[in-house]
Amino acid sequence: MELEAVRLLAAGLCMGLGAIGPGIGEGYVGGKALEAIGRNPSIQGKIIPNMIVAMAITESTAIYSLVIALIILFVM
Amino acid sequence: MKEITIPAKIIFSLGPVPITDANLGALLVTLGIFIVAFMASRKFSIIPTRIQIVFEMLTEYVMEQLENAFGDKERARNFFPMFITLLLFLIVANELSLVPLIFQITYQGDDLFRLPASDFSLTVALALTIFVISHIMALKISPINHLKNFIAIEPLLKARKPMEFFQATVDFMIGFLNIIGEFAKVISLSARLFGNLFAGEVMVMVIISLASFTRFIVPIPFIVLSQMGGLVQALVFFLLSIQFIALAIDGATPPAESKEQLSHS
Repeated sequence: MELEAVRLLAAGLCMGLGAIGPGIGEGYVGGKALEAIGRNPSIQGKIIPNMIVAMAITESTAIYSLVIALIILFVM
Repeated sequence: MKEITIPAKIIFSLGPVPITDANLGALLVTLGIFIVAFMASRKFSIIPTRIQIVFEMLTEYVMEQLENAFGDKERARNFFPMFITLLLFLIVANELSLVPLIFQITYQGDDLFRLPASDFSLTVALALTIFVISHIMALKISPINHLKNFIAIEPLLKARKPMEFFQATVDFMIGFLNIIGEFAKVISLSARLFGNLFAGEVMVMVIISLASFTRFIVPIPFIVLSQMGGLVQALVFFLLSIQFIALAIDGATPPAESKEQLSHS
C-alpha cells in the first residue's frame, strides 16, 4: 500500500476503535444517572453536573485517539 | 476549505518572541473579559443590574465548589481569584466563535485570530500551571508528607517480618506509579481541552466544505454541539484542576487531621 493510503486507514482505525470503549462507558454513566434520578427525582440538580463531569472524564480516551488521529492526518 | 493545521500560525514576532494567531485570540479574550468586568464592577448596588447578577451567580458557584473541595473557607478564599480567572477565561475563550465575523479578519493572507484553546501550547501551559501550583502548595504544607506519597521508603525501613517487607515493596512501587500518574494528569488535562475544541472546529469546517448546499443551515446543529462541548470542557477543566490541587493538599496534610481520603485517580 502507498503511504497516503496507510495514513488515512490508520487515522480511521484509530478513531473508530478508540470510540468503542468511551461509547459503552458513557452510556453506562448516563443510564446509571437516569436510574438514580428515577429513584429520587428531587436530587436531579445534584446528579446532572456530576454526570457531565463523569462523562467528560470517560470521554477522554476517545479524545486521546482523536488527537492521535488528527496528528496522523495533519502533522505526519 | 481553510487549511487545517495543529500548530498555530506565527503572525509576527516581537524580537525573539513569535506571536501566533492563538496568542492574539487569547489577548482578545482577556481584553473582552477586562472590559466587561470593568463595566460591571463600576457601580455595585443592592438592587443588582443584570450583568451584576451574572457575576454574582458565577462567584457563588465558584466559591461553593472551592469550599466543597477544600473543606476550608480560608483556603477557598485564597484560591478564589485564580479559579474564577480560569473559569471566566475558558468560558469566553471557548465561545469566541460565537462573535460574528471575528475569524474572517485576515492579515497578510492569514487569519488574525484563532480559537485560543485549539492551540495545544495554551492548554499545556494551563495544565502545567495547575501542576506546579498543586505541588508548591503541597510542599509548603509539609514537604516530607508530600514526598512520602511518591518515594515510599519509610515502610521499607520499618519492615521486620517478610510479609511486611513484601507490603512495603508494593508500596514503594506504587510510589513510582504515582510519579507517572502526576505527568499523566498534565497530559490528560491538556489533551482533553485541546482535543474537544480542535475537533469541534474541524467538524464544523468539514461539514461546511462538504458541498455547496451544506453551507447554510446544515452546520447549525454541529455548531451548537461544538459550543456545548466547549462550555462543558471549560467547566470540566475548572472542576478537575480544583480536584488536583485539593488532592495534592490532602495528600500532604498529616493523616491525623486530613479529611476522608479521596481515591487517587
